[in-house]
Amino acid sequence: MGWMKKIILSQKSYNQDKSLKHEQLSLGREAPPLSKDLQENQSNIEKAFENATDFQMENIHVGNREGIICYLNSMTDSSLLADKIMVPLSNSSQQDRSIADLEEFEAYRKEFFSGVGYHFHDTLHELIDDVLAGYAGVIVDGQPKGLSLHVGNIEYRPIEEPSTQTVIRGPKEGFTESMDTNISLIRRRIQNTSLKFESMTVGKDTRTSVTIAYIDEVMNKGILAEVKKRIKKIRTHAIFDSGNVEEYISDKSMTVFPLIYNTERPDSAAANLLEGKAVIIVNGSPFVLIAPTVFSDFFEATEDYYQSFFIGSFIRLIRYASFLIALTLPSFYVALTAFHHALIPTDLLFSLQAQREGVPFPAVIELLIMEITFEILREAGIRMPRAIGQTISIVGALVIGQAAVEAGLVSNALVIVIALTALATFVSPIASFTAAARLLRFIFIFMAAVFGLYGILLCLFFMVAHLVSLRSFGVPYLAPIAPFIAEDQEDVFLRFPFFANKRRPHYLKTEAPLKNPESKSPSPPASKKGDGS
Amino acid sequence: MQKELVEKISLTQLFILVSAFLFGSAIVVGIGGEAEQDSWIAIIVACLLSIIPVWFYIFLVSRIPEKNLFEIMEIAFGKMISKVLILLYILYFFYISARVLRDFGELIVGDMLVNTPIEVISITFMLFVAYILYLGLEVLGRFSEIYAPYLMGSILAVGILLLFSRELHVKNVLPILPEGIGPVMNTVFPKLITFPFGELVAFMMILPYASKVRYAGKTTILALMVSGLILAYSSFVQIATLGPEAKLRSKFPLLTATGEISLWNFIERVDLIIIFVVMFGILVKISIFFYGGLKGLELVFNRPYRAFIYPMAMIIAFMSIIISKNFAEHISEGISMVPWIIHIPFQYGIPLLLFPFVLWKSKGLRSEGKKR
Amino acid sequence: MVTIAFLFILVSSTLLSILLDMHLYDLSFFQTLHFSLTLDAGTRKTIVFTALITGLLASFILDYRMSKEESEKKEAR
Repeated sequence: MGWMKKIILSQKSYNQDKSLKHEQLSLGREAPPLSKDLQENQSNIEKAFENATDFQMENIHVGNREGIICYLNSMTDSSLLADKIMVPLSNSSQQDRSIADLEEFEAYRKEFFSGVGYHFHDTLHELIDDVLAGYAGVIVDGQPKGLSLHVGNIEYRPIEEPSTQTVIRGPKEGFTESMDTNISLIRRRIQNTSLKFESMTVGKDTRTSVTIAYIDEVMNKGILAEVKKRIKKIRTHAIFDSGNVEEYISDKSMTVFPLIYNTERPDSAAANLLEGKAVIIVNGSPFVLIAPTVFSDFFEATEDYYQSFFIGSFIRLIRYASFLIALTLPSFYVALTAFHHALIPTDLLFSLQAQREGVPFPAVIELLIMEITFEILREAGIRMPRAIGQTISIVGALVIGQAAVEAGLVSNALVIVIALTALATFVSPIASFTAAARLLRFIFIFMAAVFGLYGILLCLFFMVAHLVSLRSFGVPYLAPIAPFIAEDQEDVFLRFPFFANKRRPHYLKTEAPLKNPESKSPSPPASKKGDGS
Repeated sequence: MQKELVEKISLTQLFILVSAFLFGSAIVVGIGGEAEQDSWIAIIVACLLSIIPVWFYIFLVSRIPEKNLFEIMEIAFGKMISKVLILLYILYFFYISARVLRDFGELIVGDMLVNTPIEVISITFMLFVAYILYLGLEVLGRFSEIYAPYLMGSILAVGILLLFSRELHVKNVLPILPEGIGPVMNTVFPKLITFPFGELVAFMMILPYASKVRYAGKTTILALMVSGLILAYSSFVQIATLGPEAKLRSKFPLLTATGEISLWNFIERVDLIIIFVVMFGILVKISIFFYGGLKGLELVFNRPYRAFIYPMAMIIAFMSIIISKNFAEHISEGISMVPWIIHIPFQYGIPLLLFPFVLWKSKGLRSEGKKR
Repeated sequence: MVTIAFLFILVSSTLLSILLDMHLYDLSFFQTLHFSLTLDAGTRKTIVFTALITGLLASFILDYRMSKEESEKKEAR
């Protein structure tokens, strides 16, 4: 039970001493400050990295003195280490250069390790943190400070086409798990000094780095401060994906609607940055977070902006319609077949009833069977190993299809309802948003089964009231619609042409409300009288 | 401690709330039926006449800024008397919400869910009202911004669809004013002037929370005019479709009229869809009355109004049931007694009584302000 | 406080509706009371009564919570 006590104790000291810049690792051993004695440092480091096979420590000559270099060979690039560190080190020891005090140590670094990222550290655990992040730590006998040099180069998945938000036309790069790659993907798109990146470390045990990107001259300062505050306030032991961060910094967790946008596409992140939003990049996650966000963002795909605004607007309307279909179509089926026959045109009613003749269940049960079957199929399709993925479509087609109808379990019309609902669910460009429709659908079905159309409407009322009460970093979730902002309608239901879209959204309260004030319609101006040219 | 944020509603939201409030149950049960084919004239007359009391309410609220009706009463009458009056007002507001809820329940049970007990409708609907008021007045305002276009749009669409179905018969509306202005005025006083227009007294609880108080009065009166016109239009359409006798006999004339719509053998039984739209008006009406009552309870019992929401919602659901045995009793009470015994004192009596006190007190307040 | 308000509003609003009914039907007070509060079979008034009882319970709980909060505040001082 000793380790447990240690965790509790370190937790306590962590709580007590919040001014400490680098908190100590709660797991693993406590690391004492750097001493001037090389032997002591060496043994301390060795103790800290006990039983770590990827840890390497070598005794070296640094100029005219004894020293040690330590690194994790799992986190560093060996050729880089040899070229940038080991060769200069041996050169320096041949020159027999003196390193008596700190000044000379710094001059030494300038001369031999220029061009390599570095930090000087007062305490041992700072140094160890850097070593863990892929630095090589250098400690020199008699020096009060340790030097860490960046030689990290870890193998990452290469930049690939994003797997979730695919486009037909538009950039095909996607974010990867590497934070550096992700930052460079954004930087490549916005080559501007006002694009800022700020990093912080989150997670007591995992020490995941989280970077906030924003455009200094655009982003509202209050919202930015709130984003930073919330990330700093995260008190957790582990962050593995941006999904973890998202849950910690959302305004409200008791909601099925995502209050923070996530994307795998650098072009989408860059566009949102320029609108005046903050992008949160979490190391190890190919999904970056974008905050604040509003409801209508989840119906906008980047491709809307890469094709003609007519088709872009049309597709956008289709997305809104399919959200409503995904949400309410099954419940309407239940309500109409169980309560309100009168609303169905007579001929259709006859054929519906004829189809349902052999079905032994009431409409709700029939529907729930199929809905749950579909959810199972969907989940199986995601989790199933790729190699046997083919099976799922065959089995799926059999289950939700002719076989089920012929077996007399469900009616033909219901299969259409389920299929349309399922398709409509996947129309939203952001996968996490479909969860809302998927979950709420069941409540709608239940209420429709009990109260008919009244139940559906009551559910819609509850849902809208809930949506209206939500906020994302202080911005009302339904922002340009309720509260209604007439100026912001140019990019909500319809995408206006770029030359007509001169302002940034009002609800983001940006520092620079105009984005392209000088844009003009490409068509020539209507010719004035006497204007021959 | 952070200062508690006062909830604000924008002018657009105020406009929508006022008009949805006026449509509320008026559009369901049908108003001005006694004026027969001239009921639309009666509605216009009543709307124009009620500008005076509404202006009077606005005047009262604006004399003492940032105070709602009950707080003004407290200033004008002193603690004890005002408490009694406030309690009476609370009863009035709750009683009217219960009546509106009953209207709605009868509508649903009579037309949509024939086998469902009306109690369940009352309770579920009050649960929703409780939820939205728990989220706050601001949320109610934004909520109404989303549903308002559907409300206005479909009321207007009913007339157009009826026109295309060739169900509008202008001969039903003629002759105009066969017996002079007399029958019209009899409908206007006291019925139309108290219901729905006089009920705007409840907005004395909301007006002080409008974001631009200076324009709130103008907005309210504009909303009153617009919704008066739309109500008259709707009434005209109903008469033209059904004829005055059938309209008077019908429980819910708007629904009966929309039931006549039939286009291309496909758009039929639209009345069920109209119920959806009407539901929003009912919601706004109940919420505003309920909110007024809750604010009063907050003042009298010195507890945040959110604490009272659930228990009081249940009382209103209960009241809506015991208020009358059947729909006939409900309507006859609404016609014969409620306007005289209940509406007039609360809509005109107490505000008139308040008037001299407010003048006197606000003078005092103003001169104090000058001294500073 | 919530409970008091609850009971007060409940009793007085019931009285109000009974008074109106008395006028309408020309019955005595107790007849009307009986008439409006009896649970007829088929009208399923039980549902509203259950709702009413949950309202009463809620007001008890709210009162208890608020009094607890107040005493905590006093202790903090």
